[in-house]
Amino acid sequence: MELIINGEKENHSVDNILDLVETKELEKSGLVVEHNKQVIKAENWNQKDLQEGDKIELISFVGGG
Amino acid sequence: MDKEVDYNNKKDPLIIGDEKFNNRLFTGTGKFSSKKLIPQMLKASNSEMVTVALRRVDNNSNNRNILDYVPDNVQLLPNTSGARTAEEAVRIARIAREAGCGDFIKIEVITDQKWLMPDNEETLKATEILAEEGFIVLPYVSPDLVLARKLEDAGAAAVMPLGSPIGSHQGIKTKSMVEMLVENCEKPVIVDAGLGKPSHAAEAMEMGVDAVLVNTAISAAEDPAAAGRAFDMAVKAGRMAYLAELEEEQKFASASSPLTGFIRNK
Amino acid sequence: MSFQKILDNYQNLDTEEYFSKLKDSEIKQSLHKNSLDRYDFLNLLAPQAEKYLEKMAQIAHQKTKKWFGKTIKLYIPQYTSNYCVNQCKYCGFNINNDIKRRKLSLDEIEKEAKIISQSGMQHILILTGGSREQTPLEYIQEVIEIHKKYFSSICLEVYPMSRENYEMLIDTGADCLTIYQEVYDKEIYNKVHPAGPKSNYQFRLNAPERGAKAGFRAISIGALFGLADLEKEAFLSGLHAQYLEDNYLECDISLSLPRMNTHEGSYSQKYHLNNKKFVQFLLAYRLFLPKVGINISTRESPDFRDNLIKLGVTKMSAGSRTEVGGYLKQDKTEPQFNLNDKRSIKEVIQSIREQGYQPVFKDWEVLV
Repeated sequence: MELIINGEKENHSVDNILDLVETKELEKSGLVVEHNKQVIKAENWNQKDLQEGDKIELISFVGGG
Repeated sequence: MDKEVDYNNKKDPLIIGDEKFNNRLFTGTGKFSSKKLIPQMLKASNSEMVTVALRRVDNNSNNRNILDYVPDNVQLLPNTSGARTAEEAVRIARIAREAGCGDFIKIEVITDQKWLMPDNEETLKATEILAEEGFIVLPYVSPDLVLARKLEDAGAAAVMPLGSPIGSHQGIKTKSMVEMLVENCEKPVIVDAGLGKPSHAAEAMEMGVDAVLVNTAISAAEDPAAAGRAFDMAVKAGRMAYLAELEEEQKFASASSPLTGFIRNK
Repeated sequence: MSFQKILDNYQNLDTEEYFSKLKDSEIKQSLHKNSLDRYDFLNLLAPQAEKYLEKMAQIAHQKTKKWFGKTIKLYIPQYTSNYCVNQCKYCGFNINNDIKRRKLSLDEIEKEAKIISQSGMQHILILTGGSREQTPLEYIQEVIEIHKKYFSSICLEVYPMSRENYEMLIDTGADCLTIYQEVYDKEIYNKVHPAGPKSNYQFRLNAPERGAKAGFRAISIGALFGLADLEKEAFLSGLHAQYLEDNYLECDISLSLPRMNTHEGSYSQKYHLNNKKFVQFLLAYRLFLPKVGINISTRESPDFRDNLIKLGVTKMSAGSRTEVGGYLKQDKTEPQFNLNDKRSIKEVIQSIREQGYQPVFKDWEVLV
């Protein structure tokens, strides 16, 4: 399905957020996932199912002033 | 002579929100040549609060989480850098809190890419909203007394006036304006941005500023840990000087004519 | 020389008229300036400025701390001779006064020097009467030679001399000069100094400047309050100090505030400097000239002196004897003026410390 990830259209065959994160081979520690403007806690990633057109923001903490 | 004072253990905590800080140098995590230097810097500087930012994850990189480099006993201060409106700043703040960062948030709304001057209006708006939601808001703004009062009324936990443009290392160019804030604000005044040398930090503290936030001057130094240590000492020195001056003034304030009360005409 | 030129501008200043027109707002303005000009100084001397005394004191305290820290330099006088040829109407040593005259022999000088230096004092002030015959240049030089062995700084309060003579004294080992104008008002000066070399107003007026040119490192001046209009004399003293400061940067200038007290003489005092005004003048000096030294001698009472320490004083005498041979405890003469502070050096030091100040015995040393 088509998802909008970090503002870009991407196609993935995934069921839920955890799948997506693993598919993209992202570092889980410190990763913040916002699903349709809602932050989903890491322990709930496997429970949040994804649908066509969902807007995902993948955010992490970086150095800043 | 006055009673002995143990200057090494003199209590002088800074309270922001509901947190107590024993060190008045706040630091940042931006622009380090290597993240490994961050914990070294924090140790050397004794800093108890450090800023971090949020960014969209770069799909292809595999960055280690910056939070791994910040010891547990250091307060995280996420900033809303990247936000160009109050709305964006609010969103970033909520994400940061949801991510487990705590309630502290530094509001930084910048649309000016040349000088990185804050958008004071949007910052005020964001402060109102976030304070209402229980955040401990530290807004980064221009030193303006009228604005500072509005921020305090809106619920800001402190006011963070810039010393000079971000990264410029010019020191506390806004001195006379910041002095007004020191004199008239009830909440802590924390000079943020533009401090380039430890002497700048000492100068700010001597004026009566409650704390300083230093990022680039430390992270971009050849030896950030050494720079952090130097800033730590400078902040302590400035603060001690300020307190000593204050004590002296208070001594005089107690009697109505302490210096000339002795005169009796022959 | 040039101070006369400045003096000429103000000799006819009618302070009474000036003060009658002075507004409170002008005084306040002068008070809050960082750098005072002459008229600001005059404003602070005004009787109406008395109500700002505490505020002046606060500022003076801070200014003195800034330039001098919390230190008081100590010095001690030695009267070597009370022979005098002048007829100053207000002075105990007036040639017409029937008092015991004495001049210390070099032996006695040395005896006293030993006694004095045992107390720890390092800065000595050598005084002579106004008799060039009894205490000529050579005598003074010999006294200096003796004192060099015991003291690190030698100050002279002697009759005014030429620049060349001052240079010789400096060469011998003196490093500072004290010379009080007594009174800047020329008319009154002439009245109270009717005869003798001291009657030469000009020669005396220019002595500090000759001393500065000769190379004295520190020069102390002042008017003797009680001889003429108080505010005006304070004003002119301040201007004199300013003139010397501005023109002789290498020289440390100090002001004293001697005020008349009882003596052996016929003078009936018309002007009286009370304590409040004394303090006001001291503070005004400090505000006008932040870097000028301020010297308070043992003429003043112990309590008064102690309270002055925080107000801008930088030098004090202690353990003083103003009689010739006063330290020898035998065969003393009449004092030149009566001491009020008769405390021992130890007691004075203690008081200074209690005020939170550090007594300084040795400020510098001449390497001859």
